[in-house]
Amino acid sequence: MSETSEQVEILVAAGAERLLARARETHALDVSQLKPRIRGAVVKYLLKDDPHAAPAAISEFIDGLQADDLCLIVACEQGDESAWSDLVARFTTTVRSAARSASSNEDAAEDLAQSIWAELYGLRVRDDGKPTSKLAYYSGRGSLAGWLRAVVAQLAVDQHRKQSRLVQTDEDADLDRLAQNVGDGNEQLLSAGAANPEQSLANKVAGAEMQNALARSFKELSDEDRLLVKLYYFDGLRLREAGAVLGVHEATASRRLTRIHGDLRRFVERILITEKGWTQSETNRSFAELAIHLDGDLEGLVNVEESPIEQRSVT
Amino acid sequence: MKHSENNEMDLLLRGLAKQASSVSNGSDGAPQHGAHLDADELNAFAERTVPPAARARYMVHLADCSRCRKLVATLSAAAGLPITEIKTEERPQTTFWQRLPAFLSPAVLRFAVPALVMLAVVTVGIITFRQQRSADFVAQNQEPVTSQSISNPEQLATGTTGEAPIESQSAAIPSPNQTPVTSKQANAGEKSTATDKVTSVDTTSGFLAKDAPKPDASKAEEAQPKFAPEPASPPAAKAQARATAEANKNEAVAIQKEGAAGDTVTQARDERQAAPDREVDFSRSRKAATAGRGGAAVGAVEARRSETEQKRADQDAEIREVAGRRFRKQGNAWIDIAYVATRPAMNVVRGSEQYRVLVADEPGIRTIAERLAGEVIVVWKGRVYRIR
Repeated sequence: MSETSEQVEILVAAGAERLLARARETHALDVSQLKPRIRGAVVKYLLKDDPHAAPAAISEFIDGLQADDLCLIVACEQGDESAWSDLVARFTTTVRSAARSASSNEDAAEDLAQSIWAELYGLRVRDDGKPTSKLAYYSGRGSLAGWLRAVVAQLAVDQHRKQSRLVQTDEDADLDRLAQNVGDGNEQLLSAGAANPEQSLANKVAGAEMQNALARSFKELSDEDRLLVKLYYFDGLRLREAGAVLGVHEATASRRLTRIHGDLRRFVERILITEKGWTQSETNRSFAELAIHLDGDLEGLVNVEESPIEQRSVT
Repeated sequence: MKHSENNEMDLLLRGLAKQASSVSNGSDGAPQHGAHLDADELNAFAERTVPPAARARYMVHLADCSRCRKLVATLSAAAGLPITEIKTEERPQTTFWQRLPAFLSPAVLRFAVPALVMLAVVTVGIITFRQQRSADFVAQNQEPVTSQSISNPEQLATGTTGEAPIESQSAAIPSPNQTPVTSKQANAGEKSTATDKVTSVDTTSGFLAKDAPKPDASKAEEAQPKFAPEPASPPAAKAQARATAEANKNEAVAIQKEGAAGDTVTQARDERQAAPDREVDFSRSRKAATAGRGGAAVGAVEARRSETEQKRADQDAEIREVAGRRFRKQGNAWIDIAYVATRPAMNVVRGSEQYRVLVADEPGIRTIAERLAGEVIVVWKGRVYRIR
């Protein structure tokens, strides 16, 4: 065991003692029973990204764990029946509510809730003879209620995928396909309003190049900016909801979105001017023509949801 | 970035999202950045309890994985954690030299230049007006008292100067240190009356009262102005005192003219002595004219004041002050008094997401929009919003 590992072990043991001290109900657990779970959380959330994390950061992380919830789950995992009863009594409502939100009808919700409890209890048995339970994945970093909701949501998604045989995709692959399919009919953004075939062809090429540039520019955004764009434009969330995911106010999300518009435009212009040899006026004209075409095409969308441009302008 | 450019990019992204969703329908794919987040990670991210480094790692995955993104969005909504707005977060750090071009941009100059020109014109106008008034005042002191200065006999009957403001009338009231000759044309009525009797006095124009030789002690005593308006007197009493002062002053002017007439005064006196009845009649008519003029002046001032107060009351009834802004009602709309019709207004509909963002940023606008019904045009931090 290296010096760092030894230091982590010491910090984890001390943290486990503090955690037991601040838990209202320890369920007769001791430090040795808590240490593996705490160590796993430290590695997962802290040492994986920073193997040389400061001792103070490790201690602070451990002190941020949910002491009562973690003790309850570890006790359940250890086979404490009273702890299990306590878990069921306290969180039945939460699980049922989450199941209703994720299901289309009451029967499906009930089935889902039962499935969750079965998964938590652990129907399968590991090599060491203990049941494989999802309880083993709770780290105590978030609330137990939130974790249960996440488990329900995940299970609902998995069941839905099995039933519908639809597999979720990530939009980067979609954007790549969009960029690759530029010559296969997806470049019709600019061609609709063309007066003659020659103009139509020119517009097609211009639209394809701009679309390609936009897809490439999108990848140059920071991860958080890309996430915001995906949440707002691709997932159809409102600014308030998208901001909640990122932990920012909707006004902040709106301002960020405006800045992203500017960044994307600069990226696209740079690609078109430096790589494709466009002039600035050609770029501006293509943007305007594309917007006019899309404005009519997306009228329904715009009517349903306020444009973030205007939201930006008021902030 | 201009609004139009912003709108274009917004539409492009919407189009891209629409196409991406149509392309992804029925297609397969796998996350590019490792396996999906587990329930613990999803929940910790939604509850914002993930350390920064791990959060950044999850964000990379979430930006590319719609499955985990949707789960996180659901969990975030369920968690319902409060979010506080940090207004300075997105403010870029710019230096003065980086901001300077923005100040000199055409968008700013098109408003700033006319405003500066207008300000300059108003300033020059005020300065010119003040100088002109001061010049008039000096000219009054040196103006010769001639019969030609009596230009409008109708004013003599009314005792007013037509559309002259109250201030100009008050300016006609000489201070105790001033000589009675400094009175304005309001005295002309008296002068014309006096010149009927003392026609030869007019030929001796150009003398100030203090320079004029005093005929005798009794005349000098009579020439001493008897007015001294009380500074703290109420408006009505002040107007009355002003009228009295005018009468005394005009009387003194006439007498000074007599004194300045030199030898011709004797002739006039002889003429008065020869016609004592006419003198008595003249005196009576002068006093009557003075009293009538004073009364008319007081009435006019009172009427004008009441009219002004009535207008002000009408205006106050249609002006409301909300959140430190004053609004004037026009039809069904409340318009900020600072609003200039040439400024472009941004339309915001109540209840829209745009409106919520606006009021979240500016709670003052929420107060205004809630207190004023109908359409509201408000100038807020240099921008104009039309709230419907």
